[in-house]
Amino acid sequence: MKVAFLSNVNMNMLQSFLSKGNSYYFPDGYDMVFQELTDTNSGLYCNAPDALFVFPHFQSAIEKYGAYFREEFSNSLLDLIIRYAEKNPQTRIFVSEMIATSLQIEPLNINNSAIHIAEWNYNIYSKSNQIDNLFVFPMQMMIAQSKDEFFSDKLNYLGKIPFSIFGQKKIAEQVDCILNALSKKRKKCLLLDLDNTLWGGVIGEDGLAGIKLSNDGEGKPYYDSQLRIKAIKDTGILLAIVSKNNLEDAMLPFEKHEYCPLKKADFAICKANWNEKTDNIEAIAQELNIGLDSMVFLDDNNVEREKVKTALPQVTVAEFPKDITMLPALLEQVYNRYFFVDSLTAEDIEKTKSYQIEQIRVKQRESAQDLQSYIKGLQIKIDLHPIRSNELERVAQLTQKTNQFNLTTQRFTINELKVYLSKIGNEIYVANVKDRYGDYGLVMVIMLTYENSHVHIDNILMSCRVMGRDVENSVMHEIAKQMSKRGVTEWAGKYMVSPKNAPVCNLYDSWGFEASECDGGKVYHAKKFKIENTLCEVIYDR
Amino acid sequence: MEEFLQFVASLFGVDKEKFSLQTKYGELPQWDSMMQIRMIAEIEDAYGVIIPMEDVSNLMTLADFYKYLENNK
Repeated sequence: MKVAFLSNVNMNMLQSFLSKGNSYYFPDGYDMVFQELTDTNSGLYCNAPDALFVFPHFQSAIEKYGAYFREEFSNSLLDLIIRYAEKNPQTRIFVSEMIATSLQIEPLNINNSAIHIAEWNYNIYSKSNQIDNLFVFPMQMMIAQSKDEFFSDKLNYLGKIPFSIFGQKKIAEQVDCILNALSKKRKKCLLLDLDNTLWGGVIGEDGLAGIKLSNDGEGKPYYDSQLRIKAIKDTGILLAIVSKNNLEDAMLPFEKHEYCPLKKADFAICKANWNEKTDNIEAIAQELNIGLDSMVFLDDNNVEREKVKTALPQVTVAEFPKDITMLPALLEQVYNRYFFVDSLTAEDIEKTKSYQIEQIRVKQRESAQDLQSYIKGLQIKIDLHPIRSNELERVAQLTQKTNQFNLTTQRFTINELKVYLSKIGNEIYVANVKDRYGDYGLVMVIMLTYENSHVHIDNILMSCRVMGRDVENSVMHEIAKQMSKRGVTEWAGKYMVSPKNAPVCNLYDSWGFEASECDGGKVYHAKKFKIENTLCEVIYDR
Repeated sequence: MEEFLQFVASLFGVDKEKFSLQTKYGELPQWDSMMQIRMIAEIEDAYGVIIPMEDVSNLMTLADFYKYLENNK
């Protein structure tokens, strides 16, 4: 990923603390913010970064601009950033809250600096709500969380670097988190032990009244930790219990304890039994249909942590603090490192529920006689229509996250989708799927180019949650029907091999397309789709 | 002294064999002006000393840094 940094102080040392693997652009010399943002031949423009970070420093700006601070610094910088954001929709821009190193010396009733700072912060927060690719870099929160010195007068005088080494490492860590989130390396599931992790003591021995869990005193660190775990879940992360316990004992606090913020419904899945945790974790990965590499494991027991590290090296094992009062802060770090996200979709918010419903379906399948009658029994209803503007975000997310059922694995941002749609002949269709148990939401996307009697399918992708239910056949049957009404007699498509999309390598073959090899995959041609006996009800809504 | 050289090696991100106490500021590509500033701050943090601004310009070789630490223990 290409990443650029702008500031009116010297941020270049940050480079030594950032993780390798991205390309970083720092302008030569500091205080180049205005030149870089205005000159379309600047390094910033030439680099066309995927992410841009802007760090405004209050004291340096007020020294330079004095009474003209508002007009010539804060307002004009904000305008330039907004203009850049609009002209470069593919760049995500993270603007820091105003960085104020030291207090100005001024009487309490004259708050010039405080007003300048508050005004900047207010403006970037409100703009970040209005502009898709503009975000706030949470500098104040980082400073507040830091128990060590965040700033260094020494470095400021030596090199115009306001931050201490510690402060710069913190900023680099936050930048890394954001870049990880942008490159879609977000984990999906937090695996949780129970005894001495979600509460103090052992529920099976100490009983409901004996465990430490309360909004006050000794049990408060556990209570606060649970609140943070719940907050993590609310950002679309699945929670799973992995505990050596009797199931009834394990559930007791979630059902009956007065101060247990987490409830049974917060967990996508619960493995409280006497099996090896490593076996349970593998089972969870399978049942939730997610990779081991998208899981983070939290357990107070070092032996269990080591076992997981050795047997399942793909699983991320979180450290556990020696002192339980540090657990809430550790969970904030866990969020920042593994689960950080810049914005949420409706699917993220409903995620736990949809995975719970999925488990009911799995049980249903186990009891059905054959696959066909199982699918029919689900009574799947599909709402198929051309993409609507409020669906762009979800579609972009699907193109970025879907790996298995994805014929070309082409990734799109919202703005790239807009560009795609602006080309003549390009069309995107989406399918919302529901069945008798619940609503999957928007789970399938078809991108195609229509030209007279010819359609080229640019991509088909579908969430793995609805795989194996005839959705793709039913939907393409309907698309083919609609297209033949428009006189289409020639179809073409493409399958590009990726490390994960083997499940669809024969999809076009199954629809009667003729294959020929091409670089990195196959191209396909057909006069028409051969799809019979569709099992889902499709309603096409133009 | 070994420990100090090790500390510098990890800052520079190079092998200890690539430099000695006699190495001067600017001689290694890793030891540029940014590293010079960083070394002051990292040494202050690691060794719990304070290096006043007026002494900074006298610290030109690794030996200068090392002697400074020995004298200000």
